[in-house]
Amino acid sequence: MKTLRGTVAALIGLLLVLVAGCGPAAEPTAVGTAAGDDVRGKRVALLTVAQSCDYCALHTQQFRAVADAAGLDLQVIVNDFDAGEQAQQINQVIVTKPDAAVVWPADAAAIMPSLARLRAAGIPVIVTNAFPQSDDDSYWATYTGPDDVENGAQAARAMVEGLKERGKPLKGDVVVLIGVPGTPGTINRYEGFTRALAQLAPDIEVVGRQPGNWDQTEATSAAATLFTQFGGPDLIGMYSQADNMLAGAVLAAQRAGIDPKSLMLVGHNCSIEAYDALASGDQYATVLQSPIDDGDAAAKAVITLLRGQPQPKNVFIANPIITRDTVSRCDAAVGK
Amino acid sequence: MTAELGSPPTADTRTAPTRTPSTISRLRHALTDGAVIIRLVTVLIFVVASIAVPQFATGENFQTLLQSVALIGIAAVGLSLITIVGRLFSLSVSATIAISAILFAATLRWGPWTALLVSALFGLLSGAVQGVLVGRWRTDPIVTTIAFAAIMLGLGQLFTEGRNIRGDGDATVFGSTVLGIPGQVFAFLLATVVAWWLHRYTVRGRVLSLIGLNEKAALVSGLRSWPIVVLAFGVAGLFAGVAGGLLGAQSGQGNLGLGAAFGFDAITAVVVGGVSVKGGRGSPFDAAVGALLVGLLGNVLILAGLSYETQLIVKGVLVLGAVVLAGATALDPTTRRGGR
Amino acid sequence: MISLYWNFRVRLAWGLVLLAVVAFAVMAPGFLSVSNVHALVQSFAALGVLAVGLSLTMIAGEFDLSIAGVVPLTALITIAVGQSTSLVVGVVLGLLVALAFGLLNGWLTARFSIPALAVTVGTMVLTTGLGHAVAGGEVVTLTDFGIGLSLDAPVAGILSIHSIVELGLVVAAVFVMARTWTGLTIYSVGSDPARSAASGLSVSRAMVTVFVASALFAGVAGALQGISLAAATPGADLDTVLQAATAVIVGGVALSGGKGKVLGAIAGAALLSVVGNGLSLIGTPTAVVQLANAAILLVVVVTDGTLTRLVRRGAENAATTLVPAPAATTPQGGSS
Repeated sequence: MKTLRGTVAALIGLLLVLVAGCGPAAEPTAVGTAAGDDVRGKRVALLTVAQSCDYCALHTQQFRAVADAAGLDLQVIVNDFDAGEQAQQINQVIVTKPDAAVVWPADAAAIMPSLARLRAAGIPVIVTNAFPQSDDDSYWATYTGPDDVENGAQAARAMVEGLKERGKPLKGDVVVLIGVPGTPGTINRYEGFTRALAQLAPDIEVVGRQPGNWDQTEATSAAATLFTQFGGPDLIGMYSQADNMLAGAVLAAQRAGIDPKSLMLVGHNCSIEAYDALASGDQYATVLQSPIDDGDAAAKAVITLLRGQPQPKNVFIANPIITRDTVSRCDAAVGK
Repeated sequence: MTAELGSPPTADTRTAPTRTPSTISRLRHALTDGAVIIRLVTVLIFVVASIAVPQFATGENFQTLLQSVALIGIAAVGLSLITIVGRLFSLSVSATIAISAILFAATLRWGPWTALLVSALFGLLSGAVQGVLVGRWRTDPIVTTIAFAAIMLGLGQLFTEGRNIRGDGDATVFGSTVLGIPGQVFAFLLATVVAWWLHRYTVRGRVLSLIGLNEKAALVSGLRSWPIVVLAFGVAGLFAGVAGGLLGAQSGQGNLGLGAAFGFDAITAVVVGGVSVKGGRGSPFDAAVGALLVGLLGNVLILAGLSYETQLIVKGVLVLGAVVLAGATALDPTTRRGGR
Repeated sequence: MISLYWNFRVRLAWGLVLLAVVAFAVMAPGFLSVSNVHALVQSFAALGVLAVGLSLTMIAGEFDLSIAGVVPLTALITIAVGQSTSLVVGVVLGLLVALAFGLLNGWLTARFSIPALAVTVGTMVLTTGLGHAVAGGEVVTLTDFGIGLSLDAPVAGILSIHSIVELGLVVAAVFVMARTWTGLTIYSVGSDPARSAASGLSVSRAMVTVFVASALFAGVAGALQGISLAAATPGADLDTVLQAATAVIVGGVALSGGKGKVLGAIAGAALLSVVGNGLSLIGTPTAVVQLANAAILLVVVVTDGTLTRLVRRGAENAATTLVPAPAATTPQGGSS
């Protein structure tokens, strides 16, 4: 029995070794190397989310690379987007009293009591990736990461530019694939998108939205029914709040006999799925949100914080519109 | 599906040649069978939707619907064998699917069929090992499969570091149609027919039900249960592996989060389809109907223009209704609770 | 003989807990510090209350999947109502809704003799949908998270109001199951419903009792978690159910009903919390934590399997002479 189980483990291992060859860590960008060893040995806790998510893994990888280069003593704590578990992890981190904590909120609203606890314990905090839902920004030193309202607006701009480029009228129906309903990333991107679209092209109407819950297969079904429901001559485009969900939508369109190229498809992230779909022309554009930039900004912010140097309250990462011609800007983001 | 519905329910074996059951008694027999009720409910919703929901009854929508349930259906049909043999469920279906999809993407450079074979073999092997533990060593199926899911995902995380694995090759062959049927849907039909045949017409298949129904009786009649349990877990794993491979082909990549919802969807399909959680009753075909019913509800409710929360509420009420209807009609003293 | 083994099983689980505590006390400095024990008790109480609720349904031979929907639903109602009117009203309303679903689950299961797993799949989807309806696509937060902070503030060093309430429920359940007629009825219903009914016990009342208890325990856990996070998010919380179920089974409660003790389920929850806390204190990567959990599960499950097999062999040799062979069932008995 034991040998059998061992054999299986070995076999799984062997097969996965074949798989593993693909992820080269991005080169750490030089951070204040001139400043020398002033932060060496400082203890930093990175509280992050989901190891089974490509974006999160790259974020952590880059953060670690920068932190290692600066000689930080880094502890990485992961949870699976579970706000309750993260609260307990933060309780534990407070016990170990690090010099600073970097927190990726599993839930941008539920993080507030934990941030209050960190403040009470006198541990300075960098918040990364998800902007906490609070009017009082005194609970964290600096936020680094995306500006989701602006991200949604960029998607609307990309869609309008695309229509102009193809010489189509700024008129018709648009559908949206959203992430998990009721979460800030989903709400903010949607708000930014609809607001900017209403301003730029008042005759384009958002006729429907369905949650794909950030999951490609769920998005495939959701998009399929959106196409059945709203597909027709009036449907001119779709905004998906993530590229992996848009890949599902492309598949759903093909299955429904709709040529994805005939629609204005705009995604978000510039992840590997977009890389392929932009090249083939199925997807028109995406909005870059690079996990490398995200992790990099967080790591640099914590180093600046530990040095006691001043820095802006919000460090938003770049979010350019990416089309087929500019797709090489995503090389780092997809680990090429 | 319609062919099966058209044929009358199979008569009892004890029927003497002099006493053929009348249509009415056959009908009554059918109406006290939960699985038959579920089939009727499915057809009913189908008919109502065709009349009431404008875009429902179109060729494209049927195709969309079938494609959205195909992979879940394949996993559910395999899973039903575990339930029928009285070992509840496997909770490692999602993990098997994710790892199979990763393996598919990693081995795609040697051709799509090789990659699918690797995925399928991985599923078979992992299922069979769990089957040996559950069958031979009599371990609890739920804990064993939770542990295996953790092992698979843990190792997967160590080796992939959470990264996406890209498929380096051409897997479009699985996106093409077979006899005019989309590839995945064809695979679903094939899986259903194979599992149904295995369960209905082979000795091992009949023993499978017998063990699920009354393991002691099976033991008394000299049947060893563990090889059959291994078989059930092996086939379930194989089917999950194939579903994972096809998912990898469809996404062109694999990662640990791919198909995360499939495991639970497959369990829902088995339960809603009317396969008894206590073992013995039900067939892989019921699980396929269960998958169709759940997919059908999702499709109809979106098309009817309901908001996400209303979709879920209505879906919950309908699932509850179907389950209760099936349970209420099957209230027959001999099958009352607690077969074990 | 069998009951002897299952009693031993509870001791085994507590033995493992003790072993883990000693091991981490040696390996991880700070593991036994007051603040870490406080963090540990917080997570143990939250998992424990769910595990105990679930163990009641499992001892009665059923399974309550709907807590995956009830936990977030109660939290959402508590916070949404708490924000607009008063927190007390919110908690009461949330618990009433939980109670209603407990009654529904218990009644349907008992009245129609449907496996509760099938019933609770339905109520889980239903409660998840209601959760989304309560959220209405918005972020549900409590602006005043001071209450949450005081709820979790240390009481007597290692406890908090949060954990005291949850531990109180746990103790109540232990008492009811061990010392009262109701507890006895639940055990007997779980091990043999037909015979229990025949001997005049009310199977339906026992069923309704366990499901109400399970729903209320989940409700309390949800409401407290909502307050302590000052936020709630819709969506089925399957991971938590899975963790609770794991704790219960590790503690020696069998899914087939009638076996195991609530004390065992508590031991299971303690074991999982201690291992999770300890491993993350020494900075173990999540993947390794996952593998360690799997290893514990396999050890427990293989010991269980082997020992029950041995015990049963002994028992069956004695039993076959006393009990007539079960009525033969035709192989075609399955539905087709």
